[in-house]
Amino acid sequence: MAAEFYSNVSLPIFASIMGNGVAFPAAQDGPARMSREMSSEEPPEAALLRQVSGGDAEAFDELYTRWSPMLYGLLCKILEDPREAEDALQEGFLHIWRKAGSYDARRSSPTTWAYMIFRNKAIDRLRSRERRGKGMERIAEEEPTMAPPVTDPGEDAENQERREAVKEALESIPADQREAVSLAFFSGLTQTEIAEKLGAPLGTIKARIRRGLLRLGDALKGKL
Amino acid sequence: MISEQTEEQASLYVLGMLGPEETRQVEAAMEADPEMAELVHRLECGAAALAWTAPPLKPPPAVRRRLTTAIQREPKDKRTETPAETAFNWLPWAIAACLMVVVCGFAYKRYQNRLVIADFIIREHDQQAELDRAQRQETALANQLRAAGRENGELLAEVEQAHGQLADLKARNALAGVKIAMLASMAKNAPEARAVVAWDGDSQQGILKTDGMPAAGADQDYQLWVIDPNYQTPVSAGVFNPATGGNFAPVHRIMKADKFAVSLEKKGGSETPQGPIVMLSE
Repeated sequence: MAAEFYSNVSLPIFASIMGNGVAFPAAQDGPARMSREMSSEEPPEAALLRQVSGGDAEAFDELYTRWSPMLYGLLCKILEDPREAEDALQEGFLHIWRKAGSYDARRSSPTTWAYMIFRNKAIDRLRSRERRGKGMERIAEEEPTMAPPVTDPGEDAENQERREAVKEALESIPADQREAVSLAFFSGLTQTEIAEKLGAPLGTIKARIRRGLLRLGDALKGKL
Repeated sequence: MISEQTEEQASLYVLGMLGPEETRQVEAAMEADPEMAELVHRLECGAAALAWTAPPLKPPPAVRRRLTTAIQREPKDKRTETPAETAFNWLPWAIAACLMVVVCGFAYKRYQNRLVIADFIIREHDQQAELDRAQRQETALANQLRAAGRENGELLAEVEQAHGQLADLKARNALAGVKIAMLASMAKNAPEARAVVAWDGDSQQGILKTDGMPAAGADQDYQLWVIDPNYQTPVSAGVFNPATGGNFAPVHRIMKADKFAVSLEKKGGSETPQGPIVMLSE
């Protein structure tokens, strides 16, 4: 039910945001609409970000449609709380709406840029939650349990290829490095906490994180 | 060449595991070193890869509605736009230019102040050097004064000594000006009689000493005479007692005392020699 509502109302809602009388095309599925205003050399998501930086609500809607499942999935994995993941998703997209102009295509791909924004916001929330302590945990436990998030089956082939490439890259690095970088990326733990958790010296953990990230970066350069 | 330690810092930076100060250091290094910036981008790519391991999930439609409402309320000035997409906004450039002018003004003022301070320091240094020089001169003068004082004392002593020597010389000169004349007896009845005359021409006074002269008759007196070629007759120096001698002063000023003579005269003496000459100087 939620999925139907989402796909039907997306574009009219974002068109109404602008309130400038511009008639946006009716909502369509997939990236068919993404060819507008893009040059042949520019990656589609980079072009969308450029359009969003100019206040293009339709481009923003397209980005949301394209990115929200993968970003929401990431947030749920880090926060392990769908409600907080929703808040973080909204906060992250507001950030993109405001700061799309700060994206630099020379530094990273659009998805890497977006992933790091949302990951950092989730980690900030995680640390903030831990600082608030057990009192907040108790309140959370008293809240009614939410329905689990629905897996998005409609991911495009491009993203599926990316996931496959990442899977191969992760399998190519030693398990201890994979474990260290995964903990560092998803848990929000400090280096010392990771060292304690994995029972290894701090220097070893730093080295594993360094080597793991470098190997992943090199293996996936240009693929994400 | 980036060290492993720097790579570790960059890795922790990408994962948001550094403190504020370390974060600033890494960002500064990225600004300064393109190689460092490239390393961070590689690490970001590696970190973002992990995100792809999270399965995609469909967010509830309520998120999109809330997002729509939030964006509608969003003021446009909160957004960061790319320069290519927007009209040229001169205001930030104008502000930047103004700030630059102000900064340059402050910098110039500071430069001027530094020049003034430098000039002041140089002047102070010169004045200090001059003061030192003056103090050295004062010390030298004080030393000279003390030396002069010592010399002055020595000079005073020398002057005193000179005065003494002068007095001595004067005394010697005075004595040099005194004419001593020995008078021999001309009388047959007293051939052993002697007389000595000391004559000071400056003071026009003299002393007579006699020895062995017989006493004069009751109505007679011995009279001393000074023979000066400037006078036609001997000049009387007075009568005297042969037993005691005595001081004398001629009745006329003597310019040149060539000889002294004693005559035996009537009682009370004569203006010119009347009696026999009993003693005469050589």
